[in-house]
Amino acid sequence: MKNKKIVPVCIMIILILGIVVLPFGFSKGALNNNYSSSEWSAEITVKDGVVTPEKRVLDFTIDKDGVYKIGYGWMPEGSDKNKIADISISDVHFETVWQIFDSSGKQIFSTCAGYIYADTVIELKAGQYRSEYTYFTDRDSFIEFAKENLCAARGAEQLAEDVGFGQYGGDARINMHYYMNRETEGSDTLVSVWILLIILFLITLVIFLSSKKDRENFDERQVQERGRAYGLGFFTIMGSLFLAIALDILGLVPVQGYILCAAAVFPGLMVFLAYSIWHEAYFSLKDKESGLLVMFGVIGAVNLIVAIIAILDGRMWENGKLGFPILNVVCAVMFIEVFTVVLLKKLSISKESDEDDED
Amino acid sequence: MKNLKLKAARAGLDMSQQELADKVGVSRQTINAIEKGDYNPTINLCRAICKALGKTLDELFWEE
Repeated sequence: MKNKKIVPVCIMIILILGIVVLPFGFSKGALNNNYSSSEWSAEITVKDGVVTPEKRVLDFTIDKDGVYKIGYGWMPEGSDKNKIADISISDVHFETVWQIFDSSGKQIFSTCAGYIYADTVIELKAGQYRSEYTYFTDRDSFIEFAKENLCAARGAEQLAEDVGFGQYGGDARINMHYYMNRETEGSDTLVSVWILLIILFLITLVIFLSSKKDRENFDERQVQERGRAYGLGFFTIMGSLFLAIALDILGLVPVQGYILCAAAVFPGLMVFLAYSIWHEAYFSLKDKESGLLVMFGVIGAVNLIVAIIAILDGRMWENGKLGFPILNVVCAVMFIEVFTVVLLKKLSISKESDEDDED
Repeated sequence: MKNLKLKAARAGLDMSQQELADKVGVSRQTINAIEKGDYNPTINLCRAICKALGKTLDELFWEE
């Protein structure tokens, strides 16, 4: 008898742990514990071959030793970093050399381009760092600088050819837009553990749902109403997916396309839940309603907490668009909706009972 | 259309909707929906209800 109870108990423990822990997987904070994003614009003047200012300096601090992914970029103001190939080299009026130095003055990274949006992975120790942007319009000055700071003499000549000196536009006063993001790279081990946990959770969920079918018991009216609810949910998902695709194509919302499509599933779920709960077809005859509501409450609360943490840490926005943590918000909204519908239904039943008593 | 005959038959046996639902194997809300006329039960459910209340189909479900 005891052995028969152990397996269901283990299944429930794994499911509960998964429900509580997995929402953190939506948030990058689970794998990356240091994220910072900077964007700024600067006006640069080119006149008679002289760039003003000649250089810009940005200091930043790394709080913790680790391997960091540094996202960086610069391009004329108004350009779309996701469509960088649309920028013409003649739109750029000077070459930019970007260098990162540690606190001892040692150069740890360098690159050069007229415009760029890329990322690199560097191992950084905790401390102060300096990033310098140096501007060139003159090929010879650039080669001289490159020989001393970037590469050997022959390499500097080739580099000047490669970056396209001579194709840049002439005198101008332009606004350049700069990006710099840095985040700790999630360790491979941690990602693997996370994936294993998700697989374990899904397997357990399948086992649980398969066994649950034997215990579920919906009466004929509930089956009919659930059928209607599934239909409404299905067409709602279809509609919201089309809407998500349209919004992504038109660029009307600042959300990554794949996140928008994932979020589009939730309206369908919400419609199914609202309809089936209102028509008293969600909980089967053998379901313990209070236990399920407690579980929904826990899931909703955990998702809300994770979302709030993501907002406070500044991880809700990534490169000007809403990131994965927005799905935690959507989850929390869905479970708030479940509670609201259950509450309204209970009030409605209570009112009906009073009217029946009067009859 | 409300099924007042069903309601009366149930009340005659001093049985609550929940008790009738348990006896028949459906939810209380289904019994409520049948009595309010919001749901038309299948013939099997009708027979089960009649058996539980000791009535015939004509007595509970036939429109006069």
